[in-house]
Amino acid sequence: MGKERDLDAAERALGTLPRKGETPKGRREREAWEQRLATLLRPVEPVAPPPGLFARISEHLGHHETRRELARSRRTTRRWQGIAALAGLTVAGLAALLLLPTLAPDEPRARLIAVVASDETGEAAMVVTLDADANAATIVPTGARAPDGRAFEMWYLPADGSPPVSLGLLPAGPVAAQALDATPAPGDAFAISVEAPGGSATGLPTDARYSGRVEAME
Amino acid sequence: MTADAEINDLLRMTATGDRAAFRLLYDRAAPKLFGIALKICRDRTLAEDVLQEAFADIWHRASRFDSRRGDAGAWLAVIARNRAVDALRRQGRGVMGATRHEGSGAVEDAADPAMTDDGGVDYLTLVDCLGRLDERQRDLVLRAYYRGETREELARAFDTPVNTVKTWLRRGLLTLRTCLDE
Repeated sequence: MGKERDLDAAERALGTLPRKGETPKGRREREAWEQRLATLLRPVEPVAPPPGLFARISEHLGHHETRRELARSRRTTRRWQGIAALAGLTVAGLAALLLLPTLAPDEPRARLIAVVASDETGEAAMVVTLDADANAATIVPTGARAPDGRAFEMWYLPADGSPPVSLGLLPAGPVAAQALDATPAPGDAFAISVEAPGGSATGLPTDARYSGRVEAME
Repeated sequence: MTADAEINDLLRMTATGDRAAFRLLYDRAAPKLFGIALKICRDRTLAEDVLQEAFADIWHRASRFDSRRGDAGAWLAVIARNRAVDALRRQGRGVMGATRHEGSGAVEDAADPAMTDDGGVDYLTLVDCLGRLDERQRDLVLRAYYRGETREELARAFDTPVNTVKTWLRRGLLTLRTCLDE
């Protein structure tokens, strides 16, 4: 890399040279410098932002009024309902016994559970628990790993036949209170698909591997 | 899971349009980013605006983050830093940056080993490398970084021609680069 060009990139990262007219290559070089210099921000002490700032951000982004986009294929949905219907729930009782007490011992007991298991082997990949009437879920991955270079993406499958809703990539650890745009009920399902690293590009599951029906807990 | 890995995952989930992940990302990252905004802006109201703009950027640009080219925490920090610098420049920084030796803070912070609470090796390396710059070069680089001062502002503050500032800045950056690549 030319020394002068690299120093131009460094100065653009620093802010002492304008970015106007930056080439794509120049942008990558500037971003590399930004990462390098960001080390200078490490010692900065965190400060709690004022309460309500996230609400301001959400409002600014229009999240309070934008409805979920539903322009999705009916054909795929029917296939998914078939898959969801096939999901076994044999490990549900065991998972509930093993996992729930360690999750949130002080919180009211969840009423609904979905054990999302491999359609082939029955191996569980995640357990979803829900409080009745709440549109938030606790998600506990159980250690299944996506194939190398691929990612697991979670889906909520409403029983009414509306399209699968992405819940994002499967987290590496338990997530309490993942917000849902709906209130799952027995008969709905959760599923996991195998996707490219960033998740499905189409908004629909690419390669469904795991699924599990929502059931009321005893 | 480490904090970095968690932020990385949440950022990737945010890139898929996952608002719940975005909320969690805010909870995890906002205090650090607000700290950065405050340090640079030194004004609470302005820092709040900066944080709002930074998270709007993060929401819109999350899919551009590439974990092969850097870590998620640094990527977020850069967004906050750049937004803070933009905000300062929009506002006009008035008397700030007008004096050479007062209230920089940046240099002291960067050189204070007690601040390395996260034990980052990279950070210590950077401090070591900054130590190889002569004092003037180091001051210029750090003031540009933490305060967003332009070549012209630095020239006024150091009572030096703009071209000399450019030369010092570049020598400083080159030394930094050479040292970091060792």
